[in-house]
Amino acid sequence: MKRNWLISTVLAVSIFGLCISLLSCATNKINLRKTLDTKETLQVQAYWDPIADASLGLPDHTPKHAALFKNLSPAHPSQAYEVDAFKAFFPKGSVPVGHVWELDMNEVLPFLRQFHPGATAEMHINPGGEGAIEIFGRRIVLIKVGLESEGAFACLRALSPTYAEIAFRIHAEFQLDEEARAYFTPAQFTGRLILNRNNGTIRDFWLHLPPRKTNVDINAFGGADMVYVPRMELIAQNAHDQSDIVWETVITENEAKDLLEVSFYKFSEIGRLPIEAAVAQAQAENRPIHVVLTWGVFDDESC
Amino acid sequence: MRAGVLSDSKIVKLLNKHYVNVFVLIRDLRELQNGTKDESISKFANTISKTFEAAVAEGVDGSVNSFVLSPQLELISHLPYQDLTQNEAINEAYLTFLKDSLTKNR
Repeated sequence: MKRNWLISTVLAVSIFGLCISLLSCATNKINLRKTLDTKETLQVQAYWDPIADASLGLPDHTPKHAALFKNLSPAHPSQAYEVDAFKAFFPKGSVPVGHVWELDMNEVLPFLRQFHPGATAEMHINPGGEGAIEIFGRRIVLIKVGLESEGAFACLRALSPTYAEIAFRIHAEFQLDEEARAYFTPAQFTGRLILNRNNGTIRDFWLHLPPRKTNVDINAFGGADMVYVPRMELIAQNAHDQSDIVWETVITENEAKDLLEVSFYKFSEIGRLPIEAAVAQAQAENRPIHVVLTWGVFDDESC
Repeated sequence: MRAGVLSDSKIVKLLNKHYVNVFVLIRDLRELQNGTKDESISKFANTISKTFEAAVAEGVDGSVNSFVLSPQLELISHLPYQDLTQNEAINEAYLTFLKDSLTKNR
């Protein structure tokens, strides 16, 4: 009798624990699509700086090249979006913080067309672009390698009772001129969107090309180059909603960045270290160092 | 290379288990040679650039090159991507390069 009572008690406690766990999981998941107030609109500003530097000087190669690449600026410097359009960045169902989902490029492209009508999700494959560069006093010919990884992914980075933040990464390019086979391929667009869950409005939207020495691949008339564009971004902010946010559940920006990168590139599963740390680790653990020396970076579409 | 050999599960596993991995840009190499006071980093950069320069002088394509260095930063192996593409089974050839380098390191 006593034994039966003990078994019943253990069983009841286990079921209670399981219910609590399930309830906890359920409350940690959120369906963001249901919280948007679709009557609202948001004004988005676009900025697109001229090319500031080019590895091989392709933009200045001929007047035709210059005409293609020297006067790039946003097609629509300011554009109003119905808030509904931002559903493009939302997950289809309920997700927990740290979850990654794929975005529908057909819904994302209208944002990129604020920069240029030639925005496309179908990135051209560049199998044999050649260029020359002066390294160690010698002129060497470089053959571009690597396949583009198309698409877009997003991740629920943070959640509070009032706000939700989505981090995203997009790979796309702009066809500037079909006949000239002219393309402008940003290394990546990355950004964030903060949703006010109480009133269903977008508090912050920021889509940008990370500024780095070479962050855009350009192609025209069969030639290729890697160039630097200091600023290319879409920004929108609700000025009336800028109070401090205390996140309840959150992953760091770097964690979100890594999750998004792995979604694009299998090679990102290779653990990589900065040189100083790698040398120290190799010597401490007596392991050899595997070095990949490249012209351009591997973890985006700039090369 | 990114979408090929470096995305091969066997290669990823071997690299994570037996190697310390570093990706270096060509343009950062000269800066590394001259801009550091750390002897180890300087030796690392010198070993790579000396091998790279010699290979380029012989007409090797400079786009992507792989190296294996010992923990003492001596060169164990060098494989230009150009040479790798001469093989029909590129992934297997890279796996062999990595396994042979491990053997040489012992």
